[in-house]
Amino acid sequence: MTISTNLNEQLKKYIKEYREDGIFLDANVLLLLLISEFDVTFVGGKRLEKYSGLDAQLLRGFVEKFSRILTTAPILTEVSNLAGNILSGRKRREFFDQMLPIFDSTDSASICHCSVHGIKLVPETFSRLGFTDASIITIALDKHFLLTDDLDLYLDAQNKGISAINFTHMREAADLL
Amino acid sequence: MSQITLKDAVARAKSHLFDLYADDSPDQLALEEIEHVDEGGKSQWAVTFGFKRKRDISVVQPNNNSVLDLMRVQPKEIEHRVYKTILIDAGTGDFVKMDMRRVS
Repeated sequence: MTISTNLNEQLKKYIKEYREDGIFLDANVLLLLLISEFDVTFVGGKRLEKYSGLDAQLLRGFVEKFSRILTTAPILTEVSNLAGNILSGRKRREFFDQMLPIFDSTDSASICHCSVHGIKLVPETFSRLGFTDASIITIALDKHFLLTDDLDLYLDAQNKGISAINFTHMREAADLL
Repeated sequence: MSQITLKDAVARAKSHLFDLYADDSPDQLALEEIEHVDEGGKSQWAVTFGFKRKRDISVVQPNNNSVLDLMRVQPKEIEHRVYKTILIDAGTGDFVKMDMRRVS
């Protein structure tokens, strides 16, 4: 899987700059990562129709370049709710058992829980994008790198000078779309 | 019912976009977002493209052929990025509609 030159240069720059700090993933992208790690056959199904196993592979390969994943309680709430809609029965129990350390509020080497307590939301972002995305923007303003496939969130991040990549751009550049 | 592939949906959406803008070809086109939507029980792919368009801003002025005419502001071209969503029927691959994608 190769990515076109311009975007590739940009990705390399972000990897170099944010490798230690980590990568912020929005709920859709984190959901893809976790579900595909659990059982890739669910990718392409309900709630993940737009992705393929190759997209998950592209995402995993990129995320692995960073020391950790940055997340928040609102993101994890969304991921948990979405995963609950995708999985049922034994698979659902297995998924949540396996992923408990990620949802647990303690930090580990590979995941960092950024607190939303006391953060000051940008009013205009909050009214348009809601709490989860507005809190991502506020936290990412503190020099973090964001990967999202939500166009509104991506453009808002760009407008505010946040280092951000649109995952759809990566998929297209990798010839997956 | 068989479904078209997502890659096929994107290709069809792009083709329709170029057809619709045949006289003002999209510049710096990028695929920006894809969503799967169910509208009225119909499965569709919503494929959003962003591109730059040049829009002429004209000022209508009386032509007095005076020296002042030379000093008047000429029509300007403002370049701006627009976002359009093309909806493609996920079953048949047919074009459904094009919507303006409002962004901040």
